[in-house]
Amino acid sequence: MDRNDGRILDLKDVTTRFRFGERQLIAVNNVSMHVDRKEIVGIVGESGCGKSMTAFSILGIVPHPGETAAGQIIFQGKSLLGMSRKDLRKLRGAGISLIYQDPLSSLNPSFTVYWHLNEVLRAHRPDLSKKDKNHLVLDALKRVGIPNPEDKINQYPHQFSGGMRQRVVIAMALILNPSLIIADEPTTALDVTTQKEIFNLIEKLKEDLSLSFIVISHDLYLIGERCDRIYVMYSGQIVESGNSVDIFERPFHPYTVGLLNSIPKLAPGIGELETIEGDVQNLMDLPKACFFSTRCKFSDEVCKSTIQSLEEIEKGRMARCWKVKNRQIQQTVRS
Amino acid sequence: MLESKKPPNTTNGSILKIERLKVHFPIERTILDTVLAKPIKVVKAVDDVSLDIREDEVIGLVGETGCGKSTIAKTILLMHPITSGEIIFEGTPIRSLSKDRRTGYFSKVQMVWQDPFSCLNPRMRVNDILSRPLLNFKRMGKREIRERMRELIRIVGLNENELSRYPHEFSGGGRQRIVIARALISEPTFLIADEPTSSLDVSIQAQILNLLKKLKDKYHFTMLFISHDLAVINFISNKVAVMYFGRVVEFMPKDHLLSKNFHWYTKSLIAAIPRGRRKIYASVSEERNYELNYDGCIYYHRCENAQEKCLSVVPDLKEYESHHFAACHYPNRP
Repeated sequence: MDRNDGRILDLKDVTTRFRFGERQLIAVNNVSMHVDRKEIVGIVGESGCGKSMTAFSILGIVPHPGETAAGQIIFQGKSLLGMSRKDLRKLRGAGISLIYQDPLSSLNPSFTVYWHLNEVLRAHRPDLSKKDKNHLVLDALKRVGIPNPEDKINQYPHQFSGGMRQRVVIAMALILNPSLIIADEPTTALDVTTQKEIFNLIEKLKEDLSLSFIVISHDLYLIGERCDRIYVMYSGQIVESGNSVDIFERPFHPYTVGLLNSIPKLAPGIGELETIEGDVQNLMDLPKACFFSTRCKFSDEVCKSTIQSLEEIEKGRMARCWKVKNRQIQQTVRS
Repeated sequence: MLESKKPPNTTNGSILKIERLKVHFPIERTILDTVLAKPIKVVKAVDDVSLDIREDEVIGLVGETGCGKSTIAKTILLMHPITSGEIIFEGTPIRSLSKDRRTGYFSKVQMVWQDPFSCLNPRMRVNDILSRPLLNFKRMGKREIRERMRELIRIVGLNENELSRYPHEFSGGGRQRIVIARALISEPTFLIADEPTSSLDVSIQAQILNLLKKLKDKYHFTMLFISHDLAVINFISNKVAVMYFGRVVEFMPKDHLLSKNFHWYTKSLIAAIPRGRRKIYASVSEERNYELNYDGCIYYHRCENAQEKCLSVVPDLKEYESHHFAACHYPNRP
């Protein structure tokens, strides 16, 4: 495999679970995915589907009592799961960094912007002189498109607009030159016009600095527009993956089709939206069945009694549905 | 009894009329500021907004965070004082409503709130929540109330035996159904929905939007639907008002939203919505540097077609086509 040279992150059968005495909740269920150099990979799904937990598993920050119990996470040739806490800590920020959802709560209101950026350097680069640190801070702020950073570094987060705050958070993620940035719903708290600017910035950074991104979002349209490859998650599993253009043109899994049809579109004359009936799977009590079978309109006895595996349908396209694999169902996405 | 108060046809089909409404909030002053007689600074949350909402319409009010959408909704419900201007409901200015008549007004104007997790009292059962508007607004017997609740809970898609449950036993979509039932139980003629789906997942959002549309067809209420999502607005409403920094910059029939929008802000809002087609973006747009103190158009510093006049003269809402208003000197003519 020649493409392996550019592979930055490789997840193989990662399972993250939370233990509550006898019972356990499987938040991430056998997830395999990869990220190549200069690639924007999207993870999409509804709340509670395990998108964020996958990101937390990569960074080793799954909250107690959760643990990544099985699988392999390989980042630039190194396995992260067996790594010591000290080494992992060095890696966070310098190798992989995280952009949180809400720029209001990921910045401390009582400290200046400079303090936030400098904190990263204090923790990771104690060898640098104050002058070098200043230089790095200004440089990072310039890169994320904050005008006149010299005047802004002593301001407090509340003096910034939402978009500018998120730029500061991105600058914090960038300052140590990581090769992978995980953005967990980076624009959910922002307006669409600001969202557009932030994603323009992400794509510019990708080009300028040869970065890779994992973007997590519930917005399938946003992910489709901005990502090269997409993983669709449902109940902790990946149910479909592939190139973003292909997934939008010909989605395979009934869940992806349902999601696409339930989003109101900017088109005239829609009578009624298609809905996905029923409730999501209880992750504490997983059945021996396709997890989507309770809500799927195509499900039958076979779906309700066998566990589905993720299979390659076409080159580069995976889906977790035996009916899709056998070409037994016809689905259309309403344009 | 309350229904009979409706004035006979004086409203000309118009159910709620907002006339040059201003809602300003003063910024806190210190004693020193008062002593030095510094001018009072205000936040102009709503500035000179006029809207005419006719019976049976669904007005979609769209705009970014902080543009004053929710302030308008809360002002209609008398939760914010009106600085100047008038809100006229069925021919009566709501500022002059006497205390008794306010009760009647509130039974006719109801609200669906944004967050179904915080607007339901966790210590009340669903039947207490639903019966409260009836106890407050209508003189109804216990049996009648019970029947109304049973009927409505089925209509919003829940089960009768769920009436005795508490809100925490429902999912987000289920709670929003309860909120909608509570808003509709007093048979309002005017419903305000303030971002009713923005805290829900897309598959649940679709259910709630379909439900609102179905209920609208059944009960023929008029609705003011507030959202930041143009696609949702496009789905549910038949007229669209676009707000920017406290002002309505465009008010149009829904058919014009995608094909014939005049204001540059509307255009940029539509362009910013992700469509799902992978695109490569080359350049990052930069905001124009601007002076805060100018008298002109509020959208000047972001407008792609800003000209000299825009800096000095505030554009008024002008009817460029029938029923299509835009506040722009040099509108976009596609």
